[in-house]
Amino acid sequence: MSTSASFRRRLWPYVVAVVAVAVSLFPIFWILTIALKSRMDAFAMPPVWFFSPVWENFGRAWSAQGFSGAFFNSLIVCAIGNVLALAAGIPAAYYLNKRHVPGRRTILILLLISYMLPEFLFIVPMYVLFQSIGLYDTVIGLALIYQVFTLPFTIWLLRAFFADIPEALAEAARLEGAGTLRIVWTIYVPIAAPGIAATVILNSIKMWNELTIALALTFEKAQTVTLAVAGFRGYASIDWGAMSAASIIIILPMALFAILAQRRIVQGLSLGAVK
Amino acid sequence: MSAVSLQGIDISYGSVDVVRNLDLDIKSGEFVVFVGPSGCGKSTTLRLIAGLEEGRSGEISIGGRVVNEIDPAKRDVAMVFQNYALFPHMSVADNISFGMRLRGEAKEKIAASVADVARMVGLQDHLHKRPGALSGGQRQRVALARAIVRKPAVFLFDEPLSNLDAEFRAAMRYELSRLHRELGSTMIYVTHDQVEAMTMGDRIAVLAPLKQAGRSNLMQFGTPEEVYHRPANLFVAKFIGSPPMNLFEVRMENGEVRLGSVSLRIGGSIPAALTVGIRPEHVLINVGEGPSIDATVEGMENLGHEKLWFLATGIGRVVARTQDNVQHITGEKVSLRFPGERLHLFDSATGERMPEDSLVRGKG
Repeated sequence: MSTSASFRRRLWPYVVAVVAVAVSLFPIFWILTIALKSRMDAFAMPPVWFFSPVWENFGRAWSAQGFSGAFFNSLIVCAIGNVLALAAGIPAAYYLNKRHVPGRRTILILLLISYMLPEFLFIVPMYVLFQSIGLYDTVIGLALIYQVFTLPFTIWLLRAFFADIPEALAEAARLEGAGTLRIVWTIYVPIAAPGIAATVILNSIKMWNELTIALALTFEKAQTVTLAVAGFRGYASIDWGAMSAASIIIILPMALFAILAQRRIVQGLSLGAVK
Repeated sequence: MSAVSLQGIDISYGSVDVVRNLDLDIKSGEFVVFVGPSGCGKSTTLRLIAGLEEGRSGEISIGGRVVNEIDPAKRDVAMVFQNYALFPHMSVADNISFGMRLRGEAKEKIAASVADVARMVGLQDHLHKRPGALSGGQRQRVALARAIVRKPAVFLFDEPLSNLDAEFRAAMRYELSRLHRELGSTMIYVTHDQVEAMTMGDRIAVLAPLKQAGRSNLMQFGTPEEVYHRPANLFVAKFIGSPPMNLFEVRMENGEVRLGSVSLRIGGSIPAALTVGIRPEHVLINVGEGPSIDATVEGMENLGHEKLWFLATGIGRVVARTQDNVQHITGEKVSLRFPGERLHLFDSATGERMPEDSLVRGKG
């Protein structure tokens, strides 16, 4: 009797985990089945559970006008966005950890507020500004405007990671003759590398999935994947098969990224949790 | 080798003064220990010498050169931190050679220096390891090696042994003293541990927090013997020695003070209130003749090589230290004698030690 009780107790976590995984993965599973079904099977009622997969939706999605271009645009926006965020965020995070920065708290609160502002707030003024300075419909422009959320997030996160690095390390390096730039580059960045990796991944996911700003500030040349997927919705009809296939394609890079870097993310997010 | 001199040092954090009016002259090649309780400014002063902290006023010179405005890296000092401050992502060899690599020194020279220093501190078999794979004692050796390899004029140690367990600490104490003899460099060592201060220092600077200190943090600067046997004031008398000195407040009556049934004759100008002190090892239990103080044994701590006796008397609790073969039982009545030449006299109001000749002769 007691064995069955303890078995039941050990079973519960698995039940909860399986349900949670099923609920969160079901939409992806559903999209995947639509992407792999022929048009006939896709909307058959009741749903067809056993079907022979077709791959033509993926080919149609990739060769659809603008889709592959949008895919690479998104990659470039993420790359530039991360470089910009780290280039400004690393020094900012380093200095905002110092005791003697006047207005440190105010700066941090302002950063937090700017992170929390809804994105569409920026759209109207930025639309006008981007048009006039030639950043409208450019990947650089998008990477720049994405800094309104990536930069505060980067600074806040890196600041926490940097705070776990004892100040004595910087002091020891300083006594050996290292300047601030070298201290940040040779001490802080390598030690906080898991944290930086986690930041890059989280920023990438956010930029990759962004729709509102991209919708307003790009038109054709700099369209991103989220817009390209929406593009499968025509005036008269929606190509569900291609749209689903496109959705699966755009999930892949981030999923791959997350799987490869999973250990780093976990390591990064728990950095300093255990001394 | 370089002398270090501090003149009129004031340090404050915001509006809070931490160090005030500090004057210290440390001779070239000397091993000086800064000792004091938390908040006495000992680490802050050390960091000031390193250049990691800025003073409000005063002059710091190293080897006769005023260094107030000189970058920490150019002061010719090396520091060993309490938490070692090793770079966790670098090997032991890279930690030791960090500064040399920074200064762009030749590869062969770096390798030779690292090997030399590693042998000196016994790390030759660990050079390729990361600090995380080392024990606390080994980490401390890496920190030490990183300081030695610089061949600095002055070594600064900020509580370097406080993270080690007792066994290692004793061994490292000895090694640091040996290192000092070998290198002959000036060393300044911060600790709150009086055993480290007594065993390692050529001279000890006893510092007090400003709240208790008054004019300056520096309470006494002298050899371990002076600090122990002739404490300059009540603060030093209480801080140095474990268990601390027995202290009794007494009042003057007709040029005499009474300590229980014992009277002491005091000469010179006498303050209204005096404090008499005696170290536990100088209290005699049932030994000698003449006036004595009646006491009852309250308890005993057996430390193996010695015993500490807690005694209740009419003038307050007295702690006595004896050899391990002394036997008394709790509740036993005993008589205590305080040899006159072992008594310390302090002015209760100022806390200062009275001149040596003020005690004419204790009749007890």
